[in-house]
Amino acid sequence: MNGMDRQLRDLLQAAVGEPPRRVSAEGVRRRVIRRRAVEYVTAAAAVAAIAVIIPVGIGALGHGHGRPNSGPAAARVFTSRHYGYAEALPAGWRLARQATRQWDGKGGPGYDRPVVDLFQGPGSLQAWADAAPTNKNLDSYTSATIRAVRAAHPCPAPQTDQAITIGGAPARLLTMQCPAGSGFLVEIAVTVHHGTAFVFTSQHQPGTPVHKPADRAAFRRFLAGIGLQQ
Amino acid sequence: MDAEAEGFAKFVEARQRALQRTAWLLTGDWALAEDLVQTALVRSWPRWERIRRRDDPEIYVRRAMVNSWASWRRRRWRGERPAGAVPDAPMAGDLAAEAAVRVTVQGALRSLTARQRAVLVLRVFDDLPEAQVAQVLGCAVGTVKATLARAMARLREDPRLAGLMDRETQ
Repeated sequence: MNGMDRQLRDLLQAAVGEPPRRVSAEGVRRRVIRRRAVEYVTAAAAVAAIAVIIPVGIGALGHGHGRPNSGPAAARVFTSRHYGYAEALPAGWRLARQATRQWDGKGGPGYDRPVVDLFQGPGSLQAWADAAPTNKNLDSYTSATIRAVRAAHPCPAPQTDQAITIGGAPARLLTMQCPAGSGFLVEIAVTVHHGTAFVFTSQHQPGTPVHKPADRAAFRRFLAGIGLQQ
Repeated sequence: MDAEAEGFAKFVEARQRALQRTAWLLTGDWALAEDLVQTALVRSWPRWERIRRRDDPEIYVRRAMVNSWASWRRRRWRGERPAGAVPDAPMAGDLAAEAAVRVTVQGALRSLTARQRAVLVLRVFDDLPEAQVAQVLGCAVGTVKATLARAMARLREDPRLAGLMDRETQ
């Protein structure tokens, strides 16, 4: 390196200064999750579009004079801004409100908190979602979730604890009546995936009738639409 | 956290500052620099174990960074504005001097082509050997040498930069 190189390097050093913010592995990981969710959504939308186009095309070929197109509505896919999952909304479900800030992982946020993505399902069924980094495995995170919910609400222990999958990842589905006996049906689905815990909760709006088997089925359809990073 | 994730986190922790500083010299903006580093790391993470086994992670990440930056420039959606003339900085004290250096260096870097800027930053600022610069940029060592020579010649002709370097020497 000659004199000018050295002078120039000193100048570059002086000019560049210090970065105002740190780049963290956690931030990178979140971005990877978001990117994969978007890829998943794009692929899901493409599959959905093909699934719609082919039958409609075949139908058009089969009915020469053709009726007006009345195929299924285009797939509606929601991608969470803060939590990096995607939800292909089933019929009867819509996004009510997107989280305006990120959950810090503490407590068990209810549907009215700004840290949850809130969905409106059939009737007055609601579901909400939040996620936070964790170093726990699924079992211990599920236990922690139960403790957090019981600390925040007068909920009993879950009456059922079922192994399911969410977006292909192992998950647990907890079901309880809250408060015990005559309360609402509350279902909480938990999964831990690549160091992030995702919690999806469903219940009715207070003061509305509950249709438990139908609600369970609706929440299963909602969970089936979730995509996590692959 | 598994070993791969831990290794990646350690790398980010240890190298993020240096990577951001290099990225700033490429982009001229801290927000873009942070974005560029994150983009390069996002590209690297899914194949981190393979990178560690077969390649030098630092080289791989820098290559991803330079390629992403080049692709941003091609698409122009980052909206970099070339400056023909460097404005004077009529401020007082050290802050003014620092700002003047920053503005002058940015202006000088903008006068270079993308490849010249990348070669200059990697070779002179990051002090990478020519062979590694060639690896990062995916070109021959001879190309690095020639590009650097052209970049230095161009900078030598920049009167403001020359003024600053004279001041440094005095």
